[in-house]
Amino acid sequence: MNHRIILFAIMLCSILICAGCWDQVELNKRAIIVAIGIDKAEQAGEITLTLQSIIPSKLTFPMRGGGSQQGRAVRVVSASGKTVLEALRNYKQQTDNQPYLQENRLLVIGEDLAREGVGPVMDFFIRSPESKTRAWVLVSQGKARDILEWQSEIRQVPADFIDEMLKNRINIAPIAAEDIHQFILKLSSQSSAPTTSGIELVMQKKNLPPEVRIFGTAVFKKDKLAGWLDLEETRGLLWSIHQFDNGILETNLGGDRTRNVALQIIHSGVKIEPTRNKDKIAIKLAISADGNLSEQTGNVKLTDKKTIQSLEQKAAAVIRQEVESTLHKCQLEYNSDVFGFGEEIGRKFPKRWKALQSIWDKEFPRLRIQVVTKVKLKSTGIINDPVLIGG
Amino acid sequence: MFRYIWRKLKIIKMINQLPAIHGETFQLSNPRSLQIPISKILQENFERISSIFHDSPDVVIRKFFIGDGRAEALIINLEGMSEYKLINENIMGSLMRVVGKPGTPKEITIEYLKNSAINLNGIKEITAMEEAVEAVLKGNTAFFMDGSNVALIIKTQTWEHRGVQQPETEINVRGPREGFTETLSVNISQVRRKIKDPNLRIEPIKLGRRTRTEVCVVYIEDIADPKIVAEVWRRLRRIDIDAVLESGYIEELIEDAPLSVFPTVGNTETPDKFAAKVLEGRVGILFDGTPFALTVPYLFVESFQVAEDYYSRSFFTSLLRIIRITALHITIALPALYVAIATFHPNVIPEALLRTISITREGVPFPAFVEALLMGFFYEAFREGVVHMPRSVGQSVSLVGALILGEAAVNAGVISPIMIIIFSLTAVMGFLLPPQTDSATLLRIPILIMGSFFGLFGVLWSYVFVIIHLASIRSFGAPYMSPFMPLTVKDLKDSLIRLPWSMLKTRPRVVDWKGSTRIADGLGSSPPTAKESGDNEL
Repeated sequence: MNHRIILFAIMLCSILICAGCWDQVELNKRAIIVAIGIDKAEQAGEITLTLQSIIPSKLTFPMRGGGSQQGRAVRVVSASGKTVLEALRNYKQQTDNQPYLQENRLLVIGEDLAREGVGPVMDFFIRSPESKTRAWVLVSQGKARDILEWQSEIRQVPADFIDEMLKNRINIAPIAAEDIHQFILKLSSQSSAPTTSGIELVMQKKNLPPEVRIFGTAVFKKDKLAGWLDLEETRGLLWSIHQFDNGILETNLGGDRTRNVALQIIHSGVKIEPTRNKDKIAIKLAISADGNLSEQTGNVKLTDKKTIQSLEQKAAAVIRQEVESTLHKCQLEYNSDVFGFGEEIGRKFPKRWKALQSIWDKEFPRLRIQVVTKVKLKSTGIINDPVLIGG
Repeated sequence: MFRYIWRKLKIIKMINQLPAIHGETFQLSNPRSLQIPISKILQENFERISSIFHDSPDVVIRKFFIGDGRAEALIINLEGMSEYKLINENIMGSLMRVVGKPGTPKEITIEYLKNSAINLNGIKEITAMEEAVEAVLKGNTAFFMDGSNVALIIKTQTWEHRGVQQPETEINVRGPREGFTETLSVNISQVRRKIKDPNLRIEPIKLGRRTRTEVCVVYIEDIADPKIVAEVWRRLRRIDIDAVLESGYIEELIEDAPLSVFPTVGNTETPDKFAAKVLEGRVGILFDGTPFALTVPYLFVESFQVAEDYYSRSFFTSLLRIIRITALHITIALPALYVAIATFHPNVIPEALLRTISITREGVPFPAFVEALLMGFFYEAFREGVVHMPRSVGQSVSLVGALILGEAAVNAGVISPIMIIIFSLTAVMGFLLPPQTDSATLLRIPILIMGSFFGLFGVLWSYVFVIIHLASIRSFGAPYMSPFMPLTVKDLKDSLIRLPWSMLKTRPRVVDWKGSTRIADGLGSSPPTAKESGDNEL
């Protein structure tokens, strides 16, 4: 019996050591942060942290009614500091509750800061257990604070709107957004460079509030923003980093400009194969895609094998063109290995890579890349014949 | 500190074990030390009886002459407990009228009266005064005759009692509607009617120095483990208590773990459940004066087994079993889990739900822990109020309770709606397992405290502690957590799920000592083959 009591006492003590009530915070004492923006502060060397937090009493539910309709459901407050943590501490001077970062959806980085380098600020977001690494990283054209202050007409919490937009991107738009975890993985890699989507405010009409828009891709060189990829180049990037599942591919059957064909890509595959010819290293980038025909504006009969083959070839050519323009820009203009070629080479030719690694900056723009693309048409939709026959 | 408490407990135990010191008053418990023989002189017996009963108004002492006045006699009985018609017609009537007619011997002996004059079934000769007094107290009639040191006990018991009714607890939709009553003989007959087996043993014992409550140990000789039967008898014989008014008195005195929140002795109000337990090899104990009978050994898994499980089809029963087990966990841990997650680990809550909860928490004056404690206290208080009030008052209590807790408290912003939801779930889930309601209620608060001070770690720790405790207790030699701990694969067929009857071949191993089968092989369902059905041309 005695040893049982001793055992019980030890267990009781263990619970005091292993857990504690010091990190206990009531839910209504927490400020739920849904978006974080980081900008360059006016003082040199400082950053401005902008936090979008929820005001629970302002949130309304259709079923419940309740809540006061007036005013925004979010509060946007900025605070500056030399580090993210210092800025957070300064933020506490302007709020009554404990900031709670686990609900964070967005990390918007202002363009100015991104050009100077995001490395110093990203450390906190992967190191601190308070941070949520599943949040999206976005680079804003202009101040990040402006993005956070934008008010969505659809959602009470604007961060939710942007979050859902990025989550549902797969079927629709070519968006190369990354979350904090993926972003930092590429950031900390020796050769690769991170990419992520840009975000901007667009004026629709005069007198109307602006709308938010995801556009292009921000390409980094190391941790500094090198430049942007436009829509087509973003598609090229997505093809080559294997994120193009379920995208739309448009091509033309030649001749008339109205004879457009749209393919819904249902599956795509990428193979990056480093090849070696003596000391010369080249890359073979093989991209294959399966697609269904979803729309054609012309009147092509798709029961013919030949037509289908020519369609497939034309679609493949489109992919190659898109990928090549991206490669061109990233190699020559930005000199940024966003495709992870360096890592592939390191995997296949580790010895050669050791020598190459230090001069990768010089080597990468000169790297010969052969792009091979292949498209397979799986189905022509519900009908075979075009709507307009003849002509 | 623990050592000190332990020592104190030991001393208390020692004091309890000291032989009880009896007072000067007439005690029935120890017949040997107080044997008073019946006197040959009637007057002496009369005086003695009068002094024992102190002229209680319900004690009827009647002197009369037998037949033609040859001998003086005395009968004693209790008003309201003896059947007057029998006494008037079959005892006094016979003795006064029949005796003395031609053919009676000259010398009237008590032997002659017993054999030829009193035309009643239950009759017994005694020589000690205690026996006479005890018999009278049970409603029998004692008969004394001048010149004889032998008295007769004539069975004339009757009293106002409740008929067999549908029990208030353990209500079945499908299954027998009858329940035990307060009368032991009725209860025994109900069991006998279910089990018509000569091996059914019903062994009586009287417990309670003053109440002399009749208690019967019931088991089937070739199924029940003789070791368990012997253990039951050992524990029952050890009991020296002055009153047994309900089976709960004995339950606490014979249970293995009286300091545990978990019950290790089962109780039931329905003869069908009692019979089923006895048929599984358990030992049942019936009590006079209460419709609640006990069954031992009692395993944890029995809390999930309801009589109706065996009357309805097995698939749905299995689903219900799983629901009951889930409900037990919910009713024990839900408030603790909520408080732990909301205050320590909000990242576990899905994002949208977290917002909903944080809205409902807005403006609530108390921390979640205090809120939960308040709700827990008031819920139990309301329940207690409703259960023990007369039905008409109970309704208004529940109405006020619903209004206060459900509407006003939320609207006034005293309690958050989410806490109301948590406690409603907790309360409703608690009703699914009547045998474990007490233990669940008692465990809820400590686990809540652990959860609110140490987060999920505290909840987990409490759970581990409870499971270790459950694994350590036994009920009459059977491990309480059997068939899970230790694992008895064959007994799993009737635990979390119930297999169809055709597969429940063996009785539970921990209670059934011979491992006998209860159902023949090959009774599983299959459509009859053409040969079996005999006629294949349709």
